[in-house]
Amino acid sequence: MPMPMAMSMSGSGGPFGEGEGEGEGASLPATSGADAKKRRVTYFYEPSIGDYYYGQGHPMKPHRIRMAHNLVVHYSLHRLMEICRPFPASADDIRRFHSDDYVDFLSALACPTPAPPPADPRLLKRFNVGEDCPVFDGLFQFCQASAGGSIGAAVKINRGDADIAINWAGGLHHAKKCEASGFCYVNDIVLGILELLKFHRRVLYVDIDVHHGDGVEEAFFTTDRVMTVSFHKYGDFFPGTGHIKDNGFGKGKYYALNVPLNDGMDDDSFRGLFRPIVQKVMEVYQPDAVVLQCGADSLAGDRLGCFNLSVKGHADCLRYLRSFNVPLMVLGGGGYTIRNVARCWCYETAVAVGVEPDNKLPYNEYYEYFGPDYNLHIEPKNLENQNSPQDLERMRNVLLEHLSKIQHVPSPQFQARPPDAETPEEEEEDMDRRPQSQLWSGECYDSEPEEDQKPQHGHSSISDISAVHSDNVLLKYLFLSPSGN
Amino acid sequence: MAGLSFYLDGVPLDAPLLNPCNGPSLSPDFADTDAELRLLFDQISATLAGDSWPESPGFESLRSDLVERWVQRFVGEGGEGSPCDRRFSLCPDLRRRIEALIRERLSERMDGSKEAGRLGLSPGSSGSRKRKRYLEDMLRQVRAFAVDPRSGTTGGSGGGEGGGEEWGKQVLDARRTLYLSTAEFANIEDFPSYPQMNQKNDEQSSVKAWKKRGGTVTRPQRRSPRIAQKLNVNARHLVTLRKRIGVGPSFQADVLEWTGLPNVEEHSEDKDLDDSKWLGTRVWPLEGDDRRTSEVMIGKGRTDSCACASPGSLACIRSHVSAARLRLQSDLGQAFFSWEFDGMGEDISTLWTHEEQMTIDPLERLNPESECKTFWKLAEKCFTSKSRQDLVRYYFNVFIPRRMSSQSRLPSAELSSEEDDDDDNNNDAKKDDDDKKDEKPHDDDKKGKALQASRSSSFQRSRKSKKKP
Repeated sequence: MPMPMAMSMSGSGGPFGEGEGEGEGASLPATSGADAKKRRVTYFYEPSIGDYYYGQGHPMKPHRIRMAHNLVVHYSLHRLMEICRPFPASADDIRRFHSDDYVDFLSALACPTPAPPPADPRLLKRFNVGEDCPVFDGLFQFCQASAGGSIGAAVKINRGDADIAINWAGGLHHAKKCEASGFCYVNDIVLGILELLKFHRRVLYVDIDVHHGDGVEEAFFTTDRVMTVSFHKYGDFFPGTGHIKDNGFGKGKYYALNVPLNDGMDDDSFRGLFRPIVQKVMEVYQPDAVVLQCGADSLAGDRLGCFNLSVKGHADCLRYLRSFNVPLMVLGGGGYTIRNVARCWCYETAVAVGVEPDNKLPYNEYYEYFGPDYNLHIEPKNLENQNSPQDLERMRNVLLEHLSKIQHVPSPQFQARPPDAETPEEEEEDMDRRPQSQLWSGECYDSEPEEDQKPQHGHSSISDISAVHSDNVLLKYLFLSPSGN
Repeated sequence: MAGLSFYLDGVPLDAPLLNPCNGPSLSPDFADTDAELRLLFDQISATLAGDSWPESPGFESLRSDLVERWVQRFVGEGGEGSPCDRRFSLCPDLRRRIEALIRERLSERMDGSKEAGRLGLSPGSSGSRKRKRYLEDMLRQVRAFAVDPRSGTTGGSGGGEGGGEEWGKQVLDARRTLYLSTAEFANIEDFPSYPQMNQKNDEQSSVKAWKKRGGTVTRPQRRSPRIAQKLNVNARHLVTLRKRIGVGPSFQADVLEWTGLPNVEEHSEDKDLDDSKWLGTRVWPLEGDDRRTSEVMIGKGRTDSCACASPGSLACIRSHVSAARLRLQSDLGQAFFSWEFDGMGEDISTLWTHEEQMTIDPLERLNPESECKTFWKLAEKCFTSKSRQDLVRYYFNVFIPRRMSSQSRLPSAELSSEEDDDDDNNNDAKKDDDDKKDEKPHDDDKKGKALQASRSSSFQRSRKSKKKP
């Protein structure tokens, strides 16, 4: 199979001037001014989603999506949205990203007999199914619902029917083309983005799950039609990818951005990174649509996470992206302290529709989950932020430096726009900002050697060992010979 | 005359030689690889020639030469199906044994060549003997590691003698780097319950498989380290290895080049149908529903004023939740059922008989005497007629909320506001999964103090006892 061909940013490709995109798509409106405007929001919800169960003790609980929906409705937020039950994605739809053999394997698990035959252990191993990603009742249907919601959200945006499309059952960002990973089997995000790419030239993917969005990054690693930006804990942490220096390959070089962070990220530090980086990304990449993965395991007190964000801090990412007035797809993701997941996604639904809900939760069927305070918002933990301001500052500069590499790629937008063309009012503020930000991202920042930006985990032991190892022929020989395969 | 090629085709060479090829470990009789090889060689050739080698000094060198060539054959063209292989038709075990010996011998030579200059050096000097002994120990230990990669984490118990040597440490370090995955050193209780069983089976079967195949190493099963957060000290460096994103057709999605916006008119003819199915089924707003509820309701939380006899009590909450449900049902109309609100909340307990609920009740009350410590074990045993969906719904809608409500109403005088956070942090661990191991033992202790002050102090013990050894 040939390498996927990506469009050329520099080419004279299809004309893509003002007004040809999605309405306000490529424009860069004020980040606050236009915010008051209501958005048309579509929300996908599969009522049976909460009945899927990964297994006893498994931290991933689809029930959290039902809890979130329950809160959304008790807050009457549904009144400001269109709510649809997703059409389940078929095996063929899933094949648009995933490999045939993997999809065959997954769909075979959907065998309708009461007790499906046990799957071939070799296949289970090959597709990484069985441990983190167990086989459970209705596994394939669960994937169908999740993927169907995300594809549906993309179609909604493609048709111009919605400004924001939400699917909390989506966001399963670890699933790979040929295997399951990290509780994710089918990558609904990739499928949704592929759908968006039918009508949108450039799609920006932003991931605020505490884990690196490796599945999506990998899927679009070599294309510049999708830019991926992931904020995640890095070092001693699943999935192990997402180094700051990994930024794409081939045509996709510089179109993957990784923000590796340490434990204890709080609202302020997160915002201090997220806003400038996303602003710069929006400016240089000018996406026609944005996909935000809202993994809630970056919240304080998550069972698997180690960040310290409040619900408000988490939702600030959505609030900020929403302010750009670019069609926005909002997806779920991780989140393992389920009462906080429900809180977070309910609040983010409210942000999407432009409502500030009361802190005191309305009485609801899952009220007891939210004790002892029964509030919507959570307090951050008393936890040390291991990201020093200096680290963050350095990281921000390195990333902005990466982004400036994109800016140096001739962009049709910048060329196509005559300097004196009539611009919408909002552009004025835009024009004011642009030169300033160019200054801000200028060459003067590359004084720091890149090595310094790495998260400070000692690799010394590894390199020592491997040095010993490579020096010692005998050892090498002994290790190679017994494995035999 | 080329080496041993004159030997007969198809002669069973191994009949008298079956003894030395038992098991993968070095037979203790042969401290010296060369000696054993030589003996095997002698035995084979004796079988063929029907005679023993004459004992003369001149012949000794010829014999060394022959052994050498024999060894070369095994190494050089010893692959399956080579002419040498066919002619020799050795029993596979014997063949493997010989190959293993040769391999050892080669590795000895690689190491010993500095001192000994030439290949084919004859054994004899005491220094070289000592060295062989040493290498042999090393090999034995390395093999033990290969067979059971976990043994190293418990201090190299498979190592046997010579563990104090420097190379022993090197081997351990290198092996750890090469073979250990996070799962090997992660607390096994960090994983959901099914893998624990799998893993046991896996260990057993891999040992069996190893025995069957006579020493091929089975790689430890790959597993994602995502759940395993609490790592033992020395293993932390492993996960800091920078992993890379795969590049190639089996990793990337197929992204087409942008050719401009599809023509929507054209599009509507062939693809529109295809597209519209993705819009799914619209549930809200309701068809033909033109009621307008005041927007005042939107985003509203609960009011604090409450006319209940004891505000905040179970009965109080229950009545408010019921009221909210009724209001919701009238507001949502059909959507109430489309979203399966009828399957949410405490109400679904009415689908269960009183007896059934009483069976589960002890678990909610945290009774350690209950034979089944977890909901799911109990369900497996007592509710075989219930569907999976029924069980999951009961678990999340009735069982867990009831347990949480009784916990959050425990008199918790000792819980300061600060500790509330920790406690809160631990809630899910305690409440969502009764068999989940404690990620934060100190939190648990705090909780324990609070609980001991209460009537349910036994819960703490029961949770402790659930911790797997």
